[in-house]
Amino acid sequence: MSFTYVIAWLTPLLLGSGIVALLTGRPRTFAEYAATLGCGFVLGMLLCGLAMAPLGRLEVDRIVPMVAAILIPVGLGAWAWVLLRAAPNVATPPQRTHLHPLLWALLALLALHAWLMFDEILLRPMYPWDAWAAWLLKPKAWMLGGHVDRFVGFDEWLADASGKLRTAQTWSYPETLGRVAIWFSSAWGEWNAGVVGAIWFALWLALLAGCYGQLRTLRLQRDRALVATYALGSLPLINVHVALAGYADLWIATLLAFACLAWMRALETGERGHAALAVLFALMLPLVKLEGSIWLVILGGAMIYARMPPRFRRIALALAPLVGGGVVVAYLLRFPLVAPALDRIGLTADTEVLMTHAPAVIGAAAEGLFAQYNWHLFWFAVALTLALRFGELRASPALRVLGLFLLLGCGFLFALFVLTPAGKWAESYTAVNRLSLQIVPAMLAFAALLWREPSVAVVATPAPRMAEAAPTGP
Amino acid sequence: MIRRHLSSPFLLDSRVAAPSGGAQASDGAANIRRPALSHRARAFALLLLLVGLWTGLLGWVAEVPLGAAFQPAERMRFVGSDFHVVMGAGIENDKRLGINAVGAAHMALQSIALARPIDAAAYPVLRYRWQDFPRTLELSFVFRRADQPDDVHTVTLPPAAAHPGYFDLSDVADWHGRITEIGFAEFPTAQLVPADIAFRPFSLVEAELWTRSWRGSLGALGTDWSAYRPWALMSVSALGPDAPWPHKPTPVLLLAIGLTASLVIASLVLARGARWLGIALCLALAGGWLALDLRWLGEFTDRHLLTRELYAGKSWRERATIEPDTALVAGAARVRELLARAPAGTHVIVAAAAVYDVLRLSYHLLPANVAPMGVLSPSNANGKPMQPALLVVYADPDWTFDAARKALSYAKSEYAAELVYDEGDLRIFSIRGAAP
Repeated sequence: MSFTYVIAWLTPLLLGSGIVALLTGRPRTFAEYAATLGCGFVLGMLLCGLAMAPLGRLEVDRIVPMVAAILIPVGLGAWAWVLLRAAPNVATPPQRTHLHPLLWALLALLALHAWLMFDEILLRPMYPWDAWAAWLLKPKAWMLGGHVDRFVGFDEWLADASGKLRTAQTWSYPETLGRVAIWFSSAWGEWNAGVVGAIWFALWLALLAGCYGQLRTLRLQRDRALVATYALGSLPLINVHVALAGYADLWIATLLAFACLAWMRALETGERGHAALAVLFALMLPLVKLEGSIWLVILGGAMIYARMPPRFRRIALALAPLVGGGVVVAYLLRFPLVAPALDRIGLTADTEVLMTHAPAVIGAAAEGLFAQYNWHLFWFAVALTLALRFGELRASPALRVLGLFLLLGCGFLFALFVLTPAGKWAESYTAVNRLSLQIVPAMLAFAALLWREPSVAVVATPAPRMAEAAPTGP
Repeated sequence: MIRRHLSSPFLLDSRVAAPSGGAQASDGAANIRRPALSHRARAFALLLLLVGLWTGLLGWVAEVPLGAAFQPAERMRFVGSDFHVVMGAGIENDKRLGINAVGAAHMALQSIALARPIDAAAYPVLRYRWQDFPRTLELSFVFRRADQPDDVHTVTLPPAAAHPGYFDLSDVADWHGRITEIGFAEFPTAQLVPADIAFRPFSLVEAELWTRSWRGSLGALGTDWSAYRPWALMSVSALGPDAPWPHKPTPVLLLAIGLTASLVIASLVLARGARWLGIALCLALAGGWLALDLRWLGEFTDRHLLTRELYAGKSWRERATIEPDTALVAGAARVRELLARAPAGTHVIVAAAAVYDVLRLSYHLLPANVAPMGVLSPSNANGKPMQPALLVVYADPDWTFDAARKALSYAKSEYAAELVYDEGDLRIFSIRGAAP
């Protein structure tokens, strides 16, 4: 392990956590550190990848020395600003209580999950299809070729006489993950699947740390936050996406969860720093995977809705079904502009085809969520939580808008599979669970937050914005 | 009024009507005894209901027919040495058949011709037992039907560990009519284990065909739930369907339905409120989650053991060469030898009949400036500008070369080309654009 490789890990941690601390304040408790480091590391990794983009056809050996020389001072500067500007620590010392033996057992189980995933990553050459065919093809080409070459369309590549342009079936996919992979790989000095896979393991750890920390700072009791963290870390399909590293879905899932949790903190505290962090995570979504744009639109819409004055919300609520119904009618009547635009995303107005396939698609989706080994009893737990804690949902305007976003997200997945040719991926199980995975951590955080005990202070004096939002929440 | 019956072994609350004033004194003794009896009766009724519920659920997920006996009425047993080796090499060892080599295409096959054809529907359960069956191999059951004597039907089986495995043949559409021959085939797990290092010796101990019974159906369910499931390309998309044999309903479904129904019944029989039911459901869900997680950790460990078997203790450079697609790796090495004599940045286009082969070969050829065959649209064959390139054609007879005209054809397109290399599945052409 070289000095450069250590720097490659420290740079995103320093940069990302510095930005998170700058936006959300100096961490003081274990939970705040977990949130800052977890969220910060993911943010930092993506920023390191993005920082390479403007540098052109860079030699791979120069990536980390050149980029880290800029980013490390930025990270240090952010932390220096945070530490110098922070108010003196006036927090009361935390009450130390021992963990229940059952919680220790859950942590031991999580450690066993972690060991299995880590050892699998270190040993196995790149295995899953999209890892070597799509997401990690570019960094391998860059690493072995020695330069960060530009990937272009087929015709441009065929006509290119320089030999410095490359192409691939997935040449137009976002390159951020590929750039993150080349960041660590170039620092290691050779292409090694274990080195690249370790990024996904770090992502899993960051997801758990970030979720635990954010749930705690959102007033979920420690034991419940630990149970939620164990539940998230034990989900089999998430484990598989770490062990067989190389897919982009877990990145989208992490970004969505972190954006939602930061947004929740913004809604409940009214602090702009958390809102900025939520927006930052949301803006990263399209840079990771194409469907990230759709998540950005849905999340952005929900965020705008949450900021609206009550009168506008009423108007938005009244207009939403009209607009939705109008789009459907316009599509079925083949209105210009609307119909061709929806045709492009594969929507079909052939109701006979829809009716023929819909039952099988819905059945396959339900099987993937409720009857296969992918999610343990997660979706049953969500249903039970909603049934038992519906009162908490009604009482919390912030949770209601988060629930609205998740509902719209589920609606998007439903429409994608039932109304488009993507249904065949659901019937063959090849996509339905991976797309569901993208929303699972955010859904789990939402369900966990419904188990908060009401805080006397918060119930008595809600934040002004939430007090304003309460009467007209969804 | 809520009364706590401390005498109950279950220490449960029950809601009872408040007694009227006059009867209270005279019926005092009866009042003390009656609820206790009632409570025992309720507990007994609950026990019966739960036993009935779980028996019914297990019967449903195991697909046990109504009226089936617990033990099979008939068993047709074959010891390992009854089978003869069709492919590979084997030796009789006591009553077992030891397989110590594979045959063509890295495959081993053992079979037995039945003295009298049997009715498939009468024997829907297969019980099989192996010794030292390796994780590197995939196990299949093969059979021949009287109505199609020239066809061999194949179905993948859950690999057998140290214990006997059971398989429900009624899940196999082809298992019908009169069966004349049965057997087993073993070959390297596709797209996971390199074929040339997959084989380890193992023994066939015995195989049995059973008539329908609770024991056979529950055995098939247990085997499906607990058998080793190797990693597959499908694993990142769905766990369950990634195993290549017909499946039974999962314990996820059984636990969800069983626990919910049990607690709803318990709350009704024991006259518990919604709060009790909510707490009980949460506890049951937590217990069910833990049970499923322990099962998943066992499955994950099983999968990981193969990874350790293949890759542990080796350097990255050694591990990188242990790829499941040995033939494609060899093909890529041959192309690289040719590319070593070509200018840097030479365009390489990969074509193959299977998409997997195109993408995989492209990956193995890196850092060559490689592209999939999709770059060659018909417009390139119609004179659209393109730089000279090497076209690597792997196992795709649809590309035909006319040596006299030096023209390479595919679908309706034709390219000016020269054959550079041709051996086995691999052909390499130098192409210069549209054919003149």
